[in-house]
Amino acid sequence: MKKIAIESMQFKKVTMSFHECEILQNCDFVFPMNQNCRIVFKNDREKFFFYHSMTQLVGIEKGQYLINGVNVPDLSFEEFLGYRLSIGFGFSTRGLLHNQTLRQNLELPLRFHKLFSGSELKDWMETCVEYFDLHDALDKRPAEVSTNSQKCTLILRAFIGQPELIFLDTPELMLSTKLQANLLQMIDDHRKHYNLKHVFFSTYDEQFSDCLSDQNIILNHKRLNKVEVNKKLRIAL
Amino acid sequence: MIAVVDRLGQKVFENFNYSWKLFLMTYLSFRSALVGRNQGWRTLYGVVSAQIYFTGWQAMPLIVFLAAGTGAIISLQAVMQMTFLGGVDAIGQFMVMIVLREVGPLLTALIVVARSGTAVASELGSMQVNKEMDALRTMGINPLSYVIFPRIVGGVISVLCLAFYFVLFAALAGATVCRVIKGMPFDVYFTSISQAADFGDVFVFFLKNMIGGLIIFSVCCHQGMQVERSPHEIPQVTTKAVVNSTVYILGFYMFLTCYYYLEYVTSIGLPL
Repeated sequence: MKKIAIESMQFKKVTMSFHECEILQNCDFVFPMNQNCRIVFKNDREKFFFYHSMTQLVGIEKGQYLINGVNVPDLSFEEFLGYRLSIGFGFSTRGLLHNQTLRQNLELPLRFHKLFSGSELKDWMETCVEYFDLHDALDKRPAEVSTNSQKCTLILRAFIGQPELIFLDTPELMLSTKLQANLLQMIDDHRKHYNLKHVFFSTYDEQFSDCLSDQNIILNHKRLNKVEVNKKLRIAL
Repeated sequence: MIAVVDRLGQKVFENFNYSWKLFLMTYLSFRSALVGRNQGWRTLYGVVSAQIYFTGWQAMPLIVFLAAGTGAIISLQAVMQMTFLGGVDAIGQFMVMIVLREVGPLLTALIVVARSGTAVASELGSMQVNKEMDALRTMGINPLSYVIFPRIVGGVISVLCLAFYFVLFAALAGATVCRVIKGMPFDVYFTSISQAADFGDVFVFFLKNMIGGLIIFSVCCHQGMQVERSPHEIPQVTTKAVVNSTVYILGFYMFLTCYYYLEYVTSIGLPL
């Protein structure tokens, strides 16, 4: 299956509900592309459901969620696969396969979809792991490593398939300042050398947000609104 | 009275609905694994092998012990009763009738339900809670083809092999008992068995164990996937998996026995 380039993302009259609580109502929104966008939520429930909808883990209730003009909720798992391979999702905490080592967790999508051959895969893994210095933990299962290493693996797994679009759910969580800086470096490197174009993330850390965000998207009163960020204020970690 | 009929109707409807969901999940898992050709077969092969190792290989000592015990007890009882009634030579027919047709598949299925069915249901349940299924989907891996399909295939192969070994070791134990108690030579015992078993018995044996394995692992996978958010749901679905798969297995085996062997009796002109 070939990856499909992601040119545009749009909501048309979208209504989303989670356990009878409405999150979006008749929302029209064009997502800004080729930027690092912070999405600001009022609570974790909104965040959880929003990301799950964006990655097609759950369906939207009403309206259209268009990627490149195609309404993706109409697509089957196989039909959406081309888009999915261009999308990376970094879970906030859970999501690692507990019966596999961190290395197997990272290699799984690459092996499953045959994205790299043997030697390429080894080199690529080495490049990725370098950012978070995971060498010692790589051959251990998630239960045997620190939550910090688990979090690093969750983030790396979002990047491992060289996606164009990435959703990162509180990526700075449990990371030291040094590792946060490495993450920012990784995003920059992926933009420059690989396919990464669009980054959507959420965070409760204003400093981290200031370092990364080009634009803020705020979910308020069941609508999404864009708010420009003053880039002059951008700081380095 | 109407309320009782209503409740009964509702139960029947619920059971049909449940069976339909099981069928659909099994069909979709096979479809996604066999039709979605973009996936790596080697990855699936690894999961199938692991399932065969856990369900089949690790259960072997228990199956051998249970088969030997069951075979010894059945042949002991058979020899004792047949000594009173005469016709100890018919021991082969008795062993085929009891072990190959009924006890072998049934005990194997119950052992697999207790050992591996519970393991699969709770494993899948905890995968749901830990968002591992969601993680697989975000990686473009369909859990139906990566998680469910290999478990069902590995489970069916394991049940088939375990049932074969059960029958083999039960027969060996029976031969030993006959030898020790009645001094029956091994060749007489095994000739009696081979003469008693026909193609129909072997066919029904394969059918029972294959469909039995399919039922056990479909039910247990389905129950595991029913966990939504909280770990407290895991023991609940595990219990349901055991109960439901036992009921389905007994129902299916009873249906098959009635259909095949009663049909056979009436086809040769004997009254029931």
